[in-house]
Amino acid sequence: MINVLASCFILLISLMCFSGADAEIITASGCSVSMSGYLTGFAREYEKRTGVRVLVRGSGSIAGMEDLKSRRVDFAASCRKKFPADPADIEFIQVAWDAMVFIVHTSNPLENISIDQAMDILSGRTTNWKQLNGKDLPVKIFASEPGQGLSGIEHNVKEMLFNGREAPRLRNKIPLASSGIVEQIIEKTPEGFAVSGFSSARYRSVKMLKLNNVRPSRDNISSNKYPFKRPLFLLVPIDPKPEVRKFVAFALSTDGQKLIGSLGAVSLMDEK
Amino acid sequence: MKNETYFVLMKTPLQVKVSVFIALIIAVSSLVPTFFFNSALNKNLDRELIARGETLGYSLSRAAVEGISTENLDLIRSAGFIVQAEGVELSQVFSTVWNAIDAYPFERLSEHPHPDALNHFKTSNAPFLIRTDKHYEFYNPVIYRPDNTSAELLFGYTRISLSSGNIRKAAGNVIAVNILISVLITIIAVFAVNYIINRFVLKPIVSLHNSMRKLKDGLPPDTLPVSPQGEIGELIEKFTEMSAAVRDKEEKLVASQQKLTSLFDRVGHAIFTTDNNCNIIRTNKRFEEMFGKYPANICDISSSGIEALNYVRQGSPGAIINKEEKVININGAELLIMISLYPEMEQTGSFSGFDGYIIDITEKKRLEEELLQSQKMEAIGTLAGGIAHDFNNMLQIILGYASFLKLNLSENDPMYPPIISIERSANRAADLTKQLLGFARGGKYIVSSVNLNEVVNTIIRIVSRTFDKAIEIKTDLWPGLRLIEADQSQLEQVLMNLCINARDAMPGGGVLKIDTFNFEGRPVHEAGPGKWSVVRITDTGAGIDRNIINRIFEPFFTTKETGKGTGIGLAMVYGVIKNHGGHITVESETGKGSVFTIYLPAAEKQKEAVTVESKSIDYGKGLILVVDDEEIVRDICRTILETTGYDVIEAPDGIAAVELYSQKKDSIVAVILDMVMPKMNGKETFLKLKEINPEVRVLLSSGFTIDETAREILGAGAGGFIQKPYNISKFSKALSELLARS
Repeated sequence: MINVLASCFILLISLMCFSGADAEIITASGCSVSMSGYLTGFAREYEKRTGVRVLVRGSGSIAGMEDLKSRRVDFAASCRKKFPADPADIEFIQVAWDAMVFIVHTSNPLENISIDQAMDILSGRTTNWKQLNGKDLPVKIFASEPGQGLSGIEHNVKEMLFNGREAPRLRNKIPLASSGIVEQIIEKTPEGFAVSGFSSARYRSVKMLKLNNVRPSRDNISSNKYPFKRPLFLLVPIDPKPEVRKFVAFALSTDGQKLIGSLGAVSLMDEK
Repeated sequence: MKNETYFVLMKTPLQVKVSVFIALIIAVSSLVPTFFFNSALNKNLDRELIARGETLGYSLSRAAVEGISTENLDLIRSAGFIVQAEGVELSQVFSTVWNAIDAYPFERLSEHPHPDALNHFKTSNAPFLIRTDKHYEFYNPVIYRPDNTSAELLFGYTRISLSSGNIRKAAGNVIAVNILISVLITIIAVFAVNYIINRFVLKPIVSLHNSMRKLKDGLPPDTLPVSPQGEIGELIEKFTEMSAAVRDKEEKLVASQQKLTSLFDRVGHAIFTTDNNCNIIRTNKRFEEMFGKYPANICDISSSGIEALNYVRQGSPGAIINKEEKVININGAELLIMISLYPEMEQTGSFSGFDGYIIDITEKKRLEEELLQSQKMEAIGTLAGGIAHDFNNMLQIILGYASFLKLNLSENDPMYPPIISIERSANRAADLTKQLLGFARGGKYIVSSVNLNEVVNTIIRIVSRTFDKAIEIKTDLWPGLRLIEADQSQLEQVLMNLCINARDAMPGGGVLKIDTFNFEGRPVHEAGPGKWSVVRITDTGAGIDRNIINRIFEPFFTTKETGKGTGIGLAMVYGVIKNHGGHITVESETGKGSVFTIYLPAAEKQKEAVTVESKSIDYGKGLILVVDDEEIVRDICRTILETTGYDVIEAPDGIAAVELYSQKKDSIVAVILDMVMPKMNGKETFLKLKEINPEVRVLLSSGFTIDETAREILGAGAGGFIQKPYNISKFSKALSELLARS
């Protein structure tokens, strides 16, 4: 009898699990840095642990916000803070840290860059790598600027480099959909230059330049040696699906933060 | 504009029209199927393009799912490569908010999607097609379905842009080839059909047309080509027959027309045609001879207009008008014409003009007037002769007894002067009747060969003594002038009368000229040809008015004051000339003078003759038979005969005379025979007497001048002629001459 009952329980649990697994899918899109930096791995681990399937994809902070607004996804990721114009029914919940990094092709001899040099490039004053003692190649800037509002990187550049002013439009700046795409383009472009996030760039075969001779690393960021630290958010509606709520709660939990740290990103717990 | 097009179309030759028509039909029948074929081809190519685009769009959207979901550019790019094929101009992969993630070619990454596509995908996830002139754009959503039961997840969008240009170009090539073939076929077909139609239809018809045109223009039609079979052949055959018939008729018509025209021009009368305003349209040659070439209007030939036209205007225009009119000919001379107008009416009944002809009746009228005048003169002459005969008988008594009384009275007798007065008055009366008889028919007394120059000289001698010296007298006498048979004294009287008239016409003086000459031919219209002696009396006087010139030879017609002229002078002149078989003409111009020309027939025997008249009384003896129906004449005759020594027996008529003569033919030495008697006239009586005695001596006596009857009797053997009244001297002389002859 006990066996029969045990068998039935197991079957029921299995059914419940199966049916639960079948029903428990939550989707997310948004910030490429977050996606590549931690969220994809985090979601995979969460699914393993909870059985809730979390489908995430990088599309840029703006696309994520839009997907969420139109309920195409259950939650989104962003690497910028909430603006007043952003919908009030979307909450910005910080779950990790990141830092803005300057990336070039691996063949670029440049190793370090000063803030001024970076400003010269982004202001159009430096247009050839030889001005920075590099090869005689024109500088091609790739930027995550989808053009329907400020992307996370755009916002950070504006705030951190141009003191709140808009970065100038340059002829040698090529706007792209998201930082993920930018990083992949830099991988293939010897004369490329871009601003991206530390969390995702560390997975790409690109060269992250030292800034004022400070290497962008988890420690330097968490210790604030490396400037341009920035938060990474999860965006959820104010009435999220329970699974989302659970997911966020997990991310903010100690286990969750440990998981983020284990994925190489700077967790909230890493902040010193 | 429409009309112009129409006329241009009408003027285009038949061959061109047919060629164009055929070309159009062939072109249309060739090009229309080409058009439909091309249209179907276009549709098929279009359908094919869409199918291809849809397939490619779907493929890209499927292939891009993984790349987008992992934000793996390589995967996305691989998906883009899959759909690269001919005609694919652009492939793009967009995020859900239409940020271009990747593009091929990459330079066109930032190319924005079509706004219609954005709008479409706001409400639908169905694929979307946008057609522009050059491109077909296929938009597809990138959908991911985690498993069969999951809801669709939208990852982004794809865009495939296919160039429709290639397809259109391909279609265009096909169309171009089709059209080229169609055009070639059209051209070949047009030439072929044209050749066939031209050879077998148009050429014969055009030849026919040219021949018709030549026929219309009056030229001989072309020899038509050998007729093809069928309707056209038949048409040509009929036309050839018809044109031959038409030519034949036309030639006859032309000949007839030429004949008519010739006749028209040869007619001796002026013929003309006018329009309804009497403007001359056509004339014949005679008209041109009379009035010149083309007077503008028929009224122009007369200064006072054509009266006949007034008749037309006033009366019925349909009537035929014949009217005498006076017109002016081309030389400015006035003509008397008979104009005939034949009004021409149109079918509508309106008057269209005149046909007319003009006969010149000037000469005819003149002759008629001359004839009338001549008849009048003859009537007057007959009348005057009759009066003179009776008058002479009466004068014969007066003169006879006067001369008898004078013979028996001494000059101292108180009765002698009255007797002389009676005799003188009777002689004057006798002169008057002599002149009257000169005018009247048959008034020649004594005919002899006369030289007119001598007559003129006699007169000149008289007039040069008696006329005013203010009148210069000239003569121009032709020495070889022909002699004439005439009564010299009558001619003297004629010339005297004419000279006196000339003098009276020149009261202030002037020139009187008399000239003579020979003339051969017809001096006047009514005269026969012959040789003439002519005397012409010319003065520079007042001239004779045109209106009366025809009447001047009438007896008792005078323009002189009462008492100054008897009106017998020129009548006598006329009568004497006519009695001598001559002619007299007069030309005169008022204020310039007159010319009287006398033509007298030349004598056949040209010899000199001089008549000498003796005033003495010849006495004789023997028995004389006096035959006269008037007793008083017989009495005076007896008195004269007895006075001059003869014995007398009397007979009151011819019958009694014949009877008496037969009884006493041996004793009767001569017969005084009156010409005009009742019962038996002088001629009959003479013939009876001649039967009794062929040698009978007869002195004819008549109150008339010598006439044809008298001439006949004289020719038959009568001894002489004496005109009443006669005096003793003349009578006795005539009788003694008669008796001396035998």
